Amino acid sequence: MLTTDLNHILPELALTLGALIVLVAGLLKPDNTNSLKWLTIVTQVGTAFLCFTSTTVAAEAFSGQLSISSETQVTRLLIALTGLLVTLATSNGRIIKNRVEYFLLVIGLQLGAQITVMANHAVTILLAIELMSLSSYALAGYLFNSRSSEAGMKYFVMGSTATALMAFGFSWIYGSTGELDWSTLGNYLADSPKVSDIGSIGFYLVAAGLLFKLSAAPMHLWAPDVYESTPFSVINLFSTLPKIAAVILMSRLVTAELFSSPFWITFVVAVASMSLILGHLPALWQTNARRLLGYSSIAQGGFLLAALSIAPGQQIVVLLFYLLSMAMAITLVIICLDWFETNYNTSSFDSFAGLGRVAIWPSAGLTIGLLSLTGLPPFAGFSAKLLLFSSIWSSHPNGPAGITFLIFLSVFMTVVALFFYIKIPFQLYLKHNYEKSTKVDLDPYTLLLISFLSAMLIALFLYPQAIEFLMVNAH
Amino acid sequence: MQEHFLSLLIFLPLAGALLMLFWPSQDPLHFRRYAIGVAALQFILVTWVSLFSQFSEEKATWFVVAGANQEYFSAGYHVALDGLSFPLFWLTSLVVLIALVASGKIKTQVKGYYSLMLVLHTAVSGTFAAVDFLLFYVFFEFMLIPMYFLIGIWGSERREYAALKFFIYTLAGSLFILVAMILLYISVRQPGTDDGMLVHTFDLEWLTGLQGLIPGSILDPSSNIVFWGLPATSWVFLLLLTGFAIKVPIVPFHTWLPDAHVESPTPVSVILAALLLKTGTYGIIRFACLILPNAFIEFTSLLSFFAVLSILYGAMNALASKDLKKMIAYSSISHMGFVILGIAATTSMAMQGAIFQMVSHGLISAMLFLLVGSLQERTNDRTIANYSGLFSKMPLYSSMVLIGFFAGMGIPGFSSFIGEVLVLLGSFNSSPIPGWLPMTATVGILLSAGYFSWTIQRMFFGPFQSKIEGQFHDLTNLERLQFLFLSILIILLGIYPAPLLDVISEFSENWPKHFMGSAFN
Repeated sequence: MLTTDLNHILPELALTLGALIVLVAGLLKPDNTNSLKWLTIVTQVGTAFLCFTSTTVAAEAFSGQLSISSETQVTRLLIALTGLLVTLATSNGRIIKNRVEYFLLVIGLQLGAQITVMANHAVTILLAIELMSLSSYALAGYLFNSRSSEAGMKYFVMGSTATALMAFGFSWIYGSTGELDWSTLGNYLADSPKVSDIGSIGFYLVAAGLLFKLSAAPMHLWAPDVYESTPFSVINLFSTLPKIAAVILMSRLVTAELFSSPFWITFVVAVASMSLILGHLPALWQTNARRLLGYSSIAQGGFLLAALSIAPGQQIVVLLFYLLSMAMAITLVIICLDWFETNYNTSSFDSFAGLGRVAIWPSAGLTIGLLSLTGLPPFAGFSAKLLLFSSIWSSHPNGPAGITFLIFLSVFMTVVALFFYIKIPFQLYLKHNYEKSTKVDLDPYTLLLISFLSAMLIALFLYPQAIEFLMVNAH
Repeated sequence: MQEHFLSLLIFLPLAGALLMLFWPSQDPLHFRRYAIGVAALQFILVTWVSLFSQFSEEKATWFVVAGANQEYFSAGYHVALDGLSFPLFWLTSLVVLIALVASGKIKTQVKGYYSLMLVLHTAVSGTFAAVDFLLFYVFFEFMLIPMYFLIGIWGSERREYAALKFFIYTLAGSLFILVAMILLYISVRQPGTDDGMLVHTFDLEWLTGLQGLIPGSILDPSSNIVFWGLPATSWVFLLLLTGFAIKVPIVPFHTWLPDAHVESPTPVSVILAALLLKTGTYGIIRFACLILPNAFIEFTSLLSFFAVLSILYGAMNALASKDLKKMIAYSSISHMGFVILGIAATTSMAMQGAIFQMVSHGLISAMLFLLVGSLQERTNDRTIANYSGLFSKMPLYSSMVLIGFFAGMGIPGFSSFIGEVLVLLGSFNSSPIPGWLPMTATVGILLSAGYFSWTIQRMFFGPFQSKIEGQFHDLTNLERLQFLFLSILIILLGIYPAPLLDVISEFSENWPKHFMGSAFN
């Protein structure tokens, strides 16, 4: 029924309506970024509210194109809240010309992400991913200098190739199974097809496209270069929303039979290990804060992929917790890095030297965010990693060797991660500021955001049950 | 109020630190006095409770992530003190107070310094008081962050290198412990829960001796899961042992210690030597040995071998040191070797000696590092060869050094003698470890006499000559207070150890009983 179907996607409709309003308002008053930003925020708040109050428990909409379950409800809410957080963290100064399109593209990205997590049919998946991607390609070039345009072009070319691979993969899956449903793909894979089977090759091609959005190896090469040339708020978007969408889409494949099948374990272990190694090790040589964020993104992608090996019921809780703490920590880091770049023109690590004494709150916020990403107590990142490792192990108690290897690799890589995450706090606090930089006052809005996010990271560690507030209609 | 006294005392310094961070005053003296006040209050309260009252055990739920019919993850907040942790808890409050009093020379970013010290105080107290493995682990890891900044910001020239080395080395150890902790968690269930709801637990009540073991799980001896010839329980034990061995430190995982000590400021060195090293040995006893007693019995001779290796290697390095602080750092490694030997011996006398040695070494190393610190403040040079005949210039200081060094050697009359004698007697009587190991350990005492007396002779006796320009004034009043207090405690414990031994005995008496079921008892 059309009306019930529309009821299921009420948040997405609200988002589309908001986009149109932002577009029109932008055309009427192109110079007023502030009001556009707040208009976007209102839209996103409305979307989040509609996600939260949605009463759908389990349904299929639009004759099987979308599938809504408790996991998708929770994830939609997470995406809506993350989008809201990222927009709140956007500082006006960095968004230069053509502002209307910026907010429109952000809403487009969020819309794409929200539909991706619900998508059940190959065509819908491709459409939703393309919506996310096209918005991303335009956003990547948003600094409008030559480097940024190059980054956007690179992202566009590689991203289109990834999507093309996905489409090709779906055609092979159709040829093999005769279905284009995402849920039946899970059942097909649970029978452990051989690698030479057409269907499994098709799956690998589809996975390649999704891994691209996740910035996970082996489709990770775009991340450091693109991150280096985009504005910070766009980096924030890229590090959070597409990853949530891609990893949740892959987790929806995992059924009770699939998660312990050799095919899936081999796939997860291979991809997760590659991302962990290729994300952590090159990061050790980085000297640019933005590129570091790119490699950090690859590394976090590795941890998220490792979470795909957890048993289905537990998987969503672990992913939710990890994604939430990751999103908050990354947003906190980016707010602070953005502030440093605006006020002290920092780019490489050396330029941060000694600023810990001059800029107290941003340095503290940056340190808290980076320590949370590493996984140290008393921050939410620690609880997230702890939950991740213990869930992986309890899902495979007599673990195949691959899982044991994956756990030890993740643990080892956490130490490596500390080494490069600590580089900026090292410069901030342990080095002396020889140029005697002047103190710049922190505006109350940024201070509020930094305090709020730091407090949330510690509060989520002390009271992890708070995650249950997000569990809309769960179980 | 009485029931929550322990938690209040654990978090009192943290609350003090947070309050201090938001204090508007800029006068460094205010922060110093305030921090010393908080630490003194803590020390007085802990001592009062130890003499007249008792801490009660506290338990609460903390981290529960649940699904529809299954609890995915649960961890509780459980703190208590017993014969092992109580002396260490008291030692923490004492040593931090002394370290804060000795922090007079810190003049830059004073507010940050004192807040970090108080936060460190909470972390260390919590480490000793926690009875839930996850809670312990959180406090254990949390110690690393303040230490990194304390060494890195207020240290000497190579402080950045030392701080990073310390952080990464000990974090690697912590991660081994994390893996072992998770393996233990999934293998243990809380008894009393029905089969439908599998409730795992981190609580030591159920972990100790693997009482809550789930049959068929990875750590069940009958499940025969073997990696490379060793059963899974042995692997978990080795992981825990390695993680804590890095902290103790046991040779060959000791290389972070000399750098960390030499480059950190004196008060931080004091806390590092007196407290942080003890968290390592505490972890070995409480978590590695008590949770997996059967695996421990298999590895006692290996552990005792490494203990004696630490004793001898530490002593030899101390003998070869040109830097006074490095010499004392290596002597710490040597003394901690005795503690490990006491643990490995599995007799109750050896364990009593080990715990006593932990407390005694805490006091003695505090004194030794403060002594070096005093010299360093005056002349900024720690090279032993550059000094001679200091007794004539600084008689009171030299007397204190004599007390400290003799205590380090284990001369009767000082607390270290009691500790070492109990450990050695207990090890000679012990069946699991080969007899030649304790004999070799006594050579370590001989070596300590060597390096300490040689240093005394070189630096303090003879005619006064100094290649250093410096003010060789004798002890200030504050220094006199610190050293007198510590010397009195060391000598008191040396001639009247009974009160401390009584407290320890309630733990050490029960210690061999954990290994009753094994072949060696």
